[in-house]
Amino acid sequence: MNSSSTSQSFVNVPVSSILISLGAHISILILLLSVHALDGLGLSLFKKKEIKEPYQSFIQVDVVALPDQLPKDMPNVEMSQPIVDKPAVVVEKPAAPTIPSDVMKLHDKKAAREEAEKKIKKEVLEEQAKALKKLQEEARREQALKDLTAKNGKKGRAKLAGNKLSQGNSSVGMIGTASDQYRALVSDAIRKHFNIYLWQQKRVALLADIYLEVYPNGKVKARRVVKASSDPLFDSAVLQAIDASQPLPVPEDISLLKEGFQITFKP
Amino acid sequence: MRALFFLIIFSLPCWGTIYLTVSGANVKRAKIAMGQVHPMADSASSDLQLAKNIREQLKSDLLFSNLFDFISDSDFSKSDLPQDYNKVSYEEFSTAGAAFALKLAYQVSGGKLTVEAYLYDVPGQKKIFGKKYQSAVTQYYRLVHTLSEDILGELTGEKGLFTSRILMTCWKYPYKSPPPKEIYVVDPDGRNLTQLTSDRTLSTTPTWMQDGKNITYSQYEWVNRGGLRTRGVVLKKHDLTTGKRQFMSAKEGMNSGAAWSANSSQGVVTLSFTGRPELYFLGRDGGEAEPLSRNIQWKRLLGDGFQSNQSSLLFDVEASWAPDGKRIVFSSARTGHPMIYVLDMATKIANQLTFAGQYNASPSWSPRGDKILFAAQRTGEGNFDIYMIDPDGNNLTRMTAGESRPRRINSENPSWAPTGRHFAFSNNEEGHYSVYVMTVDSTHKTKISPPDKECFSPSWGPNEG
Repeated sequence: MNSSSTSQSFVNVPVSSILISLGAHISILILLLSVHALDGLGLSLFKKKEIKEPYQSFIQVDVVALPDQLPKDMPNVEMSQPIVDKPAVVVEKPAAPTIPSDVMKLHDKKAAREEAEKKIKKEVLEEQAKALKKLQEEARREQALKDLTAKNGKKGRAKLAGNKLSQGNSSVGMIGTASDQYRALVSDAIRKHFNIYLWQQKRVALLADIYLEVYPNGKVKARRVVKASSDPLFDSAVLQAIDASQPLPVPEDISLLKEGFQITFKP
Repeated sequence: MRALFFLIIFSLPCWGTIYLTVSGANVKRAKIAMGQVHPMADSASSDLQLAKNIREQLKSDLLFSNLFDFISDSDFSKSDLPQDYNKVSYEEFSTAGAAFALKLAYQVSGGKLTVEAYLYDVPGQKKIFGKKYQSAVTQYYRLVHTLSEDILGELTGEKGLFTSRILMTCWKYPYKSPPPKEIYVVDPDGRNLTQLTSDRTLSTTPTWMQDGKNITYSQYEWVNRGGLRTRGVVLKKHDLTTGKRQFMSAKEGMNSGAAWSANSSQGVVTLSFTGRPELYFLGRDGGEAEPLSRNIQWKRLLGDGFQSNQSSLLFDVEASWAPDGKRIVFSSARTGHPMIYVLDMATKIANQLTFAGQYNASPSWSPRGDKILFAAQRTGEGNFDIYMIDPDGNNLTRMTAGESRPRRINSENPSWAPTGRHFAFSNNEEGHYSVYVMTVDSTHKTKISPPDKECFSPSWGPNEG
């Protein structure tokens, strides 16, 4: 019904209107073709917009570091951050400060480089110290083996008894670790009895060196202050700590006790 | 080459010795066994109340130091017989767990009090000191303060907790109309409050010169400027031994906030005659002030450059000297928010120290040089609390815990004790401002200003002992 009425109205359009419309379209077409033709001859009717850089049809994202310096002549730097809350009555160690995030961003490159250099230096020194320690341990092991050989005459090493599935290699490779473990054991045993007073706590200059000899049963054979601190009460606390920690742990390898200990005490 | 290497390794000294380091000790308060205060052997009379007062004061002093605990009297009663006040038997003290034993005796004669005190190291089994003290009977607490100072000095090497004094500004409380503000001085335990000014005007921000005898403060006062009599805030110096006072600075505007170097030869004051508060150097007897703020180079936060030094940005107040005299700390509002800055006195280069909070003010450099206290207005809450920070900007720690609801509780104006273990500050938790003394570990807080006064701006003086 609707479609028939539409076709009816289209048929009823006067011929003159159709001709006017057709004429107008042809005129526009001629005009456009003329402009294009003149443009081709270098006689452009419209000024051409200059595009210095070619248009890129994709989105380009460059990775750029955030500026690490403030713009020049910008004295008003606001970096307000809420201060870290802490209850008034707190005995435990104070919390680390809250560093404003803005400040974190503003690390200067020089400082970062210096820090990196320091880190590398520290690592190298640590490596050297480790290497030296390893060599000392090897030397110690060789010496221990020599001593053992001397003790057992030409028989060589004492026979190890155990429930072995395989004889495997010798256990000498474990001496270094055992020594470290023993150091830690002795250190812990003494630390438990190492008591100082509040006023001595933050004195970084307080250092006392003690020489200590121990019997194979862990009792103290001899102890003496090699280097006293400036505080007699601190030296006294150090000696009390050693006395109170008897019997000290004894190593499996008794030969470790042969040369005694040198212990540095710090608060 | 290999042989040489092994030679070096084997020739290291004591290579067979086991080297250890023991650190991380258990830290504790020292336990003291404090005997009764017995009459001396040749004492003609006794005053039991005085003996009790002496003992209580001594106990109070040592507890105030926050370094000691006391052994119960019953644990060493056999070792505290009157006839044995100058003898010691370590066994009972040791069994009781005492680190130190203190034995005391007294004598009163002709209004004079004599006290003998003996301090022993119990584990070390040796006498640390034996001393005799004398004072007027009425001044017994001063005598005890001196003894406490000796005990503290002998054991810790620190001096000045008991023989120093605290200045503050006080006025009558409660009041109907704003009363005059006067300068007072008080012992660190709140005793011996003494009014120093009675000018019925506004006397504020008192500070000590390091000789412990002279103080400076600001006063709202009539002054003669170019023949014109006018009122203004002037800076005065007050000799506590003679009572003599003199004008230090009476320029137009504000003359206040004097901070004196360790030898008191040079002061840094805040003057505002240019229209903006700026720091100036001032000699110990006043004279012409030399500009300081205008010569400061403000370090940029990054890089090697400096910020603009426009005079319109100057707003520098409240200086405090580092103990070595090489730096000062002060607050400046050049960035809009008042923040804390550290100034190197040799190069005149200032670095911003604090960035947190809305308003950081009244910094005070510790006598050990390792910490700076300041008051900071907290973002959000809006109240002021005391904070502590290292001079390099690390370890920002909150020391007081005020609140804003239901009422804003502020803690302000921190000032270090000469030992660096306590500080004084003002706080309004009771509805009006009072002065308190607190330990640096925030565990002990004591009010030292009287209840009938509102007090503010404490300044802890040097050791006078």
